Amino acid sequence: MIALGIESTAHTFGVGLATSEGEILANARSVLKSPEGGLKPGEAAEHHARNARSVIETALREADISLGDVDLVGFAQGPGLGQPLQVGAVAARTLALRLGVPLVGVNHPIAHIEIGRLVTGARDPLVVYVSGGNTQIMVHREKGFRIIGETLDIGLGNAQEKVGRLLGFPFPAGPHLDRVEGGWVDLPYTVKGMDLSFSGIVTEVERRLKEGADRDDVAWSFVEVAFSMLAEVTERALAATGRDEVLIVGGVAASPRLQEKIRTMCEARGARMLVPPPEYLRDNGAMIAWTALLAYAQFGPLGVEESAIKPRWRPDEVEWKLLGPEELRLILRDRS
Amino acid sequence: MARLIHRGAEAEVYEADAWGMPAVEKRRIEKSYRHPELDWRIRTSRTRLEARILMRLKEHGVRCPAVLDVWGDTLLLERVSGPTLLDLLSRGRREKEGEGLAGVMEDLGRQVGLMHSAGVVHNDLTPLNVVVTGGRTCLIDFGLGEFSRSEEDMAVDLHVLKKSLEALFPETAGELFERFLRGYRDTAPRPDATLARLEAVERRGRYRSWIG
Repeated sequence: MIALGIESTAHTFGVGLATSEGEILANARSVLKSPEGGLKPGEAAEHHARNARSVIETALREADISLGDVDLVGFAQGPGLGQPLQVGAVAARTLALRLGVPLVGVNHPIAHIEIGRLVTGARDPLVVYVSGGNTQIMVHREKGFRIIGETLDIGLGNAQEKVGRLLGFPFPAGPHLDRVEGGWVDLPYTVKGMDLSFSGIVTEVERRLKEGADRDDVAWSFVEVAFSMLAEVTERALAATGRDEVLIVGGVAASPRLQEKIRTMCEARGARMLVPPPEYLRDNGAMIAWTALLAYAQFGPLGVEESAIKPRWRPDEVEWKLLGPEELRLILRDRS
Repeated sequence: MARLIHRGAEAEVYEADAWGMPAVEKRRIEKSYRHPELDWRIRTSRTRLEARILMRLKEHGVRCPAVLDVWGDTLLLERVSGPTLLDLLSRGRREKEGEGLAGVMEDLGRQVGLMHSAGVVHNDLTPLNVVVTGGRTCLIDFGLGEFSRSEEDMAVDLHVLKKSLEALFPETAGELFERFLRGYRDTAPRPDATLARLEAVERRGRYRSWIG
């Protein structure tokens, strides 16, 4: 079975193709880069609508298949920004209808986790999901993912963009911030139990820069504090849940400095850190295609009337099983 | 070398002696993933906060370890001896001696109510962090504690306790928690509002629900 997956929750319009054997056939994308930074929903939607057709074609070419070979169409149903989500939903409904194949809605954070499990071989890990809008620590429990810690305000990626803009770095600012070398500046470190807060740090960064603090020092210390906070709550969650694998996913997880911090923490605790390669960390269509197969196996096709976008859809609202490749094969065989 | 009593994610607890009095030393562990200056700042400020919390609780008559000394990342605390509530409940279940436990739960409720009235939340209120001596409960490990009078924070304390009871003792958790609430209502600052908030927290079903 071949699934086509469409990602359009934020900047990225992505189209992926995956088989029920867990093979990724294609992972094409087009990313909106707005010169002044920040994400305007209307602009993203326009970009996605303009590029949808060509990205779909690129994916099919990459996989060397035709549209007629697609057995299933999945799309990111949420969470995300309404307007860009809508473009992906419409494209998916149209394709599914035209091809006469089932339509499946996918929860975007769960897709990040499932592609991570697929490519790293993680079984039932503690998950650290860290992207622009989200920062969540999760584990799977019987009926689905449980969020055991999260940001109380903005996502870590979002904080990076705000600080990046203050320092004049282009979008995405993360890699630029990562490379800055500097000295230590005192910034607020806000961990509340298992939860984090980043907005206070951004405000303090702004204040420090206005006071004329060294820009490199501020940038370096911001990264140091933000990543240390995340490593600390991850460690606490590891201790509390007794897991021995940490899977980090989401765009920010590509940061070498973050990986190094989490790895150091894991090594001290005798745990293993797993990170997918960058093309599966950032928002992408392959994760939606693969997770659409897993969702189809569990819930069957989505009716058009159930396919409305869900901009605030949390991963812990989804009943979800961790399927192994063999289980997936068996369920899909019974369905067909 | 002093004997290690407990090693958590954040701190190590060693047996100690304070002028002949049984004590413990609680030292916050250095984290190699943090910049040394940041690490020191965090460990010392949290140690000072924990000391301030314990002292505030003592002033309000909450049973908890007395602070004997604070230096850097280390607290010298009075040693509280006795089984934890977890030990006691596990034993009680085995021996079917439920009656004494009801009184212990009610006493715990009163202590937690007093703690909330003192403007402190524990943030990790599980049966492992309650020591029982002669039927009287004593709250320990305020490593995640905060000064807070917010309904949400107080409700989370109750939620964490309830969930951990349900996970550990599914058959008797309901009864145990009811007993706890009886005591809590006696001493808590705004029990009705906090319990209403607890319902909201449970509906949201997020805070630390991995316990269950």
